[in-house]
Amino acid sequence: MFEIVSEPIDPRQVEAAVAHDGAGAVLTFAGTTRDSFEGRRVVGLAYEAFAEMAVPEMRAIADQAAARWPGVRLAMVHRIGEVPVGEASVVICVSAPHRGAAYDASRFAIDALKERVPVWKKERYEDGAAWKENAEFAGEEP
Amino acid sequence: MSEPHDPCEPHDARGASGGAAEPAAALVVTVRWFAVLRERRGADEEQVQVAPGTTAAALYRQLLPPGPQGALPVMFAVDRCYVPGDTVLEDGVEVVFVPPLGGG
Repeated sequence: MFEIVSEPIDPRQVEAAVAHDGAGAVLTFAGTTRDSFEGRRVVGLAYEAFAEMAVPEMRAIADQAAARWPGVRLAMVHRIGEVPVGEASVVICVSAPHRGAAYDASRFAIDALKERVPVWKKERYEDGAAWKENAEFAGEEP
Repeated sequence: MSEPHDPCEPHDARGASGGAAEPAAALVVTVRWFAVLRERRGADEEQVQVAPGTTAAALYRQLLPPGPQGALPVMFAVDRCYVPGDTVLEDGVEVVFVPPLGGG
């Protein structure tokens, strides 16, 4: 399951996409929206995505994880549009034969998502707004 | 388990048909804008004529000339695959200048 959605994400549905009888671990990571950034109060935030590219990029990350950690299955769902503070903007579920690979693959997947899946976030504050920049992003300055 | 396949492998056969004469006429590419760059450009999508040999990075500088603080760093995507900035654009491709990401 690799999706960009505009509704709240149900983590149980994402888990169901990776769970199977051969798995010894199912690990769910939820990235949730915060109410502040560097001391400024966030009054609202919204995500947008280049969905036609974001979905294949998520799939490619899952393929890389499966190649690196045998037996790992991965599902990723990112929400776009307005996301109320405290709700999940992204859910990543990993199943693996053993817990070690599940933790490693989950960390790899969220780091890779922040680096290359085309999704953007605009936060609104009481006195302005800003597009957030992931530290993982490595663009060129042409 | 599905075979990992990467539709973005470099040097794929996409656009490699023909190979005869260099087209002399201007090419047309589709540029789609997202996030902060959509706001700066004031457009979601546009068709742009480019000279043969134009690179993705050159088109970025042309459409959004760097301000006093320089250009916003971007990644380049052609037909939904990341490519280096020095990639030469072909007729009919879709180009996206990917500004700093904020997903997660």
